[in-house]
Amino acid sequence: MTWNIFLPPSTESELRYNETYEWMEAMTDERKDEQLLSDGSLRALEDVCRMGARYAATGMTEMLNATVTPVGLQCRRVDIPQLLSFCGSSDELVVTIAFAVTGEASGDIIAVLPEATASRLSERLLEGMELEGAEREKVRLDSLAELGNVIGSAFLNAVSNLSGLELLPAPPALAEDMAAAACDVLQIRYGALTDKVTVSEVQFALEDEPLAVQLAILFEPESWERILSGFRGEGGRG
Amino acid sequence: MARILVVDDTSYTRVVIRKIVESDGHEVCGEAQNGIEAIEKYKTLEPDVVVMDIIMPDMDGLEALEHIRAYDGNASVIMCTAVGQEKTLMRAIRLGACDYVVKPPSADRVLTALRTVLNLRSEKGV
Repeated sequence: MTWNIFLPPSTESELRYNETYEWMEAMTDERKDEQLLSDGSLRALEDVCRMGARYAATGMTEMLNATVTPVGLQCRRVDIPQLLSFCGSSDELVVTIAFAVTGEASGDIIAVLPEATASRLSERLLEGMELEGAEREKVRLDSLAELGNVIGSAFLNAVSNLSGLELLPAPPALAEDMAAAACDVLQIRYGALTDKVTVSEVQFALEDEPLAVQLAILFEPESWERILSGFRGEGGRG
Repeated sequence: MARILVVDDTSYTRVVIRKIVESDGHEVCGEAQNGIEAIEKYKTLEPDVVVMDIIMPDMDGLEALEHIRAYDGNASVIMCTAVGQEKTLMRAIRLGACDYVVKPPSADRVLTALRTVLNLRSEKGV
């Protein structure tokens, strides 16, 4: 029987993972006395996200039938009010695809697309589909939700592969709104838990043209602890 | 030609899978948007194969798979999901899924899974 699952990491990726493991082991004691996420753990997270970005680019390439490549990635700690800057200027019309992360860790993933980018992508996604009127609009919105689902799940799969934790996305929620509104919910939710959150931002290119898709991955503080333990092989698959 | 029930909460994915299976001469006998609808439609439509998402509102695909397999021990269900994680995959296997396609669903992967499942059904005389 054939099972189609994500390709295993390449030798290069495995090497990078091993380096990450060793590095994470070395910083364990030091980290205990520091803030929850040090610069070092951000670097480890970037390694994981780099793999997630490759998975996501592969998924987008298949969906859009055009080459998508990850061109930039950064993980950083931001104050809660700074979440707004991630979503764009406050009066900018954006499409957000958000979903909660459940399973063995709790968090949120939010993908933010400027309206023009969303239109460009949905036109491609609907190519060859004979749809009209309300049905076309329904499928158009769903196509963007599915795109966000594929991108976000790719990152969760990468974190899961390394931590051994099962991280499941909830059904995605899509909204077309001002950027400020899109980030309000996250600010309220995480503001009640912590002063700072870790945001992973990724930029892609579609056939050599910049593709303005911003992706933020946020986990609750306790979940980060569990994920980092998983990276070190403490309770996760290792 | 097989009769397929397509289960996914996004209309876009249902359209994509419909196009893929119809291109190979199969019939989509029904569509459902969540696990509850999937169980109901399985009982009324008696499809040969179910292609079902895992993450859906109201009832997810794994719970629906469990119900469908309890109702019909010969049910052939292919999971089609963006979740490509070992624990989830193993749970689907234990619950009786026949195959597993990671989204986005390409024609090649869906049709390969479908042919494998149909061959198995044929061998078992289902």
